[in-house]
Amino acid sequence: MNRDYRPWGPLEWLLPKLQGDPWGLLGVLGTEDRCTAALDVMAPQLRASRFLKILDPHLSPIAAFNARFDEIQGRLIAGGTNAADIRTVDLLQDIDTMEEELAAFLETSGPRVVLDITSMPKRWFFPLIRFLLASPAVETLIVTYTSAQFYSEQLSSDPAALGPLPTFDEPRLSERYDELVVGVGFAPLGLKDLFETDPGKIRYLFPFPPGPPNFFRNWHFLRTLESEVENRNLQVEDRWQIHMYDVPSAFEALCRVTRNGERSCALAPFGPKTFSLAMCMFALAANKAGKEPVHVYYTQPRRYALDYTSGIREHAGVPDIKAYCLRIAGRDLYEL
Amino acid sequence: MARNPFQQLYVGEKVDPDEFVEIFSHKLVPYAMPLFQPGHVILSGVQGSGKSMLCKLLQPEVRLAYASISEPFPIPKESSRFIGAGINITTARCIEFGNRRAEAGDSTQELMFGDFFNYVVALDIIRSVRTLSADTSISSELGIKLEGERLSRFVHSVAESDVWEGYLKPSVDLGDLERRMWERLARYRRFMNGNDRALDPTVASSKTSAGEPMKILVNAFKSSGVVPSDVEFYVLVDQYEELEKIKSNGADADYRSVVNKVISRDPTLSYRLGTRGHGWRNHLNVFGSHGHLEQDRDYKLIEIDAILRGQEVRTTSVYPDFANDVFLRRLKYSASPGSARAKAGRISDALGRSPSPKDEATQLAGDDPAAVLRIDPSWPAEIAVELRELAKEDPLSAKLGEVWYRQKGTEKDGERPWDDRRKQYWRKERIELALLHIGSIRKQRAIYSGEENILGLSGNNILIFLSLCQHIWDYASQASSRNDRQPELPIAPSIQTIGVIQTARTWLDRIPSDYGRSDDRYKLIQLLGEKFSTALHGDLKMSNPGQNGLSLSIEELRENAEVFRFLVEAVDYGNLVMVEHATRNKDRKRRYKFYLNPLYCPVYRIPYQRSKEPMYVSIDRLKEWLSVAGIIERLEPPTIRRTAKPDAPMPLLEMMSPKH
Repeated sequence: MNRDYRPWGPLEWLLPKLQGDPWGLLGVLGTEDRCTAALDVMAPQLRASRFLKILDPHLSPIAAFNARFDEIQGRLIAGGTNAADIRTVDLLQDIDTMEEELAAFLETSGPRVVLDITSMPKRWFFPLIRFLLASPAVETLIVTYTSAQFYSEQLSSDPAALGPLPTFDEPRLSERYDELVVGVGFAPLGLKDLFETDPGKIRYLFPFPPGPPNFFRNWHFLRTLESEVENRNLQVEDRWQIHMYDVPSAFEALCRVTRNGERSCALAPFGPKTFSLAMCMFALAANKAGKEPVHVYYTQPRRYALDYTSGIREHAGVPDIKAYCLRIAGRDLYEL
Repeated sequence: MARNPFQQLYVGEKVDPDEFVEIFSHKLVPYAMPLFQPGHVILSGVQGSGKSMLCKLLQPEVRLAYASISEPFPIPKESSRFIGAGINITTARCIEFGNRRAEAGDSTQELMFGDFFNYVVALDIIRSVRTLSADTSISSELGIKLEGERLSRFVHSVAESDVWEGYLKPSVDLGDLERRMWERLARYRRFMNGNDRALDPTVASSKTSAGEPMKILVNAFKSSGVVPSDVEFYVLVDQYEELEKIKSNGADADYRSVVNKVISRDPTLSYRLGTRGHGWRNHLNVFGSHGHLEQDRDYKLIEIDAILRGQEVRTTSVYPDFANDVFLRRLKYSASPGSARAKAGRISDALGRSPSPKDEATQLAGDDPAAVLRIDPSWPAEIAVELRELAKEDPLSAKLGEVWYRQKGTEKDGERPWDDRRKQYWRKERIELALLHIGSIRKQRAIYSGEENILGLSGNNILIFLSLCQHIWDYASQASSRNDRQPELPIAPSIQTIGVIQTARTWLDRIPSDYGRSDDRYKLIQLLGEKFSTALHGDLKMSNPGQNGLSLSIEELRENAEVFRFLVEAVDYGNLVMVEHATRNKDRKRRYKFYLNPLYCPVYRIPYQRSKEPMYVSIDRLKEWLSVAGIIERLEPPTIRRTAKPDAPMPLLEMMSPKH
């Protein structure tokens, strides 16, 4: 395999190419239909599955949330997950507890691990990927992401003040960054505060093709930012358009922008989860290569919509689940 | 497009010091003088009130910028002998204390936070002294001598102090001292970030008590002769309210009480707590004691919003003067000499004056002014003729006449009684609503243009004012026929109206992406906006022209703390305006009025001006609305009161009928 080849694609295409022992799946029990898709598809090939029921600090309307959680829990148990492997945790949980939850999962998962980030907040999946890649017990690691049919108008609210995601704030000498790379999404919650870091250059990762109505929401995102902060000589070439599912290309774009981590940078993963995954992998790769720490800033919403998404997008009758190999047989694929 | 002088909105935090000197307005300084005088201060204000801009004057870099262009520092000489430093709770990463699990019961988190706070502030105090000492004019003005023996004495005195628990002992020079402090903060960051499983033992065993090291530092500066004894030290703690939001896993860590502890009666140095709105009032506990902070004993309170609002009531016009100064400084900053921009002396030179109500009504009525009337078919013909004739020359008066007859009946009581001087208040209270009805009938939007309207819509908020100017300027640039695409001044009312509507939509649409319970606040504004609009547009008699606001009993609000907190949050974020008011009810109980931020009003087609009387609602009614809007949990249906009536002597059996 070529060193730069980072396999990704539909889960049903990728799995047969990774023959071996059964997998361990770590996912999220949320309110979205799509959070059960990976389990449904992988159930026959699993030796263990564990789901985190991640609660917002102020669930509302609580009765409706609980009813939905019960419904999804029923589906997970029907899919073969033990009730004891459904763990209730807080959205703003401390990293000590996150590590403990992961360690408990790894005791049963075996060395081949699938992390389903479909319904997993960034505050959780960023540190979990860090911990998984730091674990010698994990020989192969795949991340999965399932697309939804419909998105709610208002996805989330009540953002925390802008700050680094847990474990992505290693101290560095300078407070200034050469580059700030923003993943363009739907809602720039509190993002204007990021410009306080006064980066030398701001660049935007644009999902392409976005498809309606996302197209308008992405541009609205950019327009909102631009109306609040002085245009810092934004050039066409500062907007990088990358296929929204193409994590390796987004990773490589970050490598190019920063000259393989030589230029210091901060990342703001406000775009699609897949771009956030690329940012996570870039920050970890820079860390591993001994480059300047890459800080990942986010305004973690503290309230997600009950109907964040609905339905599961399908291709030819199969759920649209993308899978990304991060580590295969002990070899990390995202490195500088 | 030509450069928009209002492009950059956030002057206080983002603009570089040199530009700040050019565009900073001094107008609020006299009202915020406690900030530049000894004693602790709590400075509260919503975003955009000018709070950050004032605090920027504490920064040494800004002082240097004034000195570098020989511009007088905008603080009176007798109050300018100070050195400012500070901590921003968000950018200092205090929020990361929630990243690690707290052990319950032993206040470990508060003690760690207090120590972290001390070192951030101490390091910044040293940085400020170093920065100011580098400029000869400022260092001689303040008498700072950071050199030679004095410096050695300072370093020795600090390093040897017991307050640091020996942590700074190895330091031999200022660089050492700062490095040791920075390293300690880095160790905290490594711990909070999870790089280190446990806090470095050298740090853990040498924690300092909140506030104490800063006293040692300041005393050392003065006793060593680096800083004269009459120079004050002011420390800004910005975004204090964020401390409340730090998630404490496993323990109830109280971070605000740690900061409150530093506000002691020790006069060595003074703190300024910058906070949004009313949030700080909820919590005045002092860490490690049962004491509470008391206003005027422990601190002075500066409420920027209240200053602007209060002065407005006394008609001394702080805000218009302030906004005018901000406007002109921006306009002239990048203007070419001799241009209309450079010559402007008031906002109205660029935006014109707002049209009089009569002129606005005439414009809205267009070429068929009689069409603004809704003549009741039962009215005598001569009244219909009279109003239609009047509409040709004064559609506003005709509309008010229509309303008069609806309210009072068609018995003639003199010539145009609604125009009588004795009825000026009746008329005044209905003018905006009459314009609204005229616009609605003619399918026209109200005209939002001119200095008075733009100031009124900005609601005493300089950020909103700048945002309005930014949008108007952009549209005027696009419409300009000049080669340089600079707007033609004064900007046409139609362009201003488009700019206002666009600004209003932008601000409304951005609510859900703001901090706090933003989505719920957005729903609240939608809810109230639609209720007010329905009430006002449906009120053909204009019996309740003040129903673009809500009145609630303070007593009921206090009994419903969750709802009250939510409303106050909406006030703190500038979505609502809250004012205490005299009640019309016989019970004489105190009430609060709540209005939408004036900027949202054009979106809901309601007047932004306030008149009597607001919509009186009970807390139960409000809760019902909030429940239907999904803001609070759905309420149980009210218990049905069982009352025996002649036709239903057995109400219990009645309740068993299917309709229940």
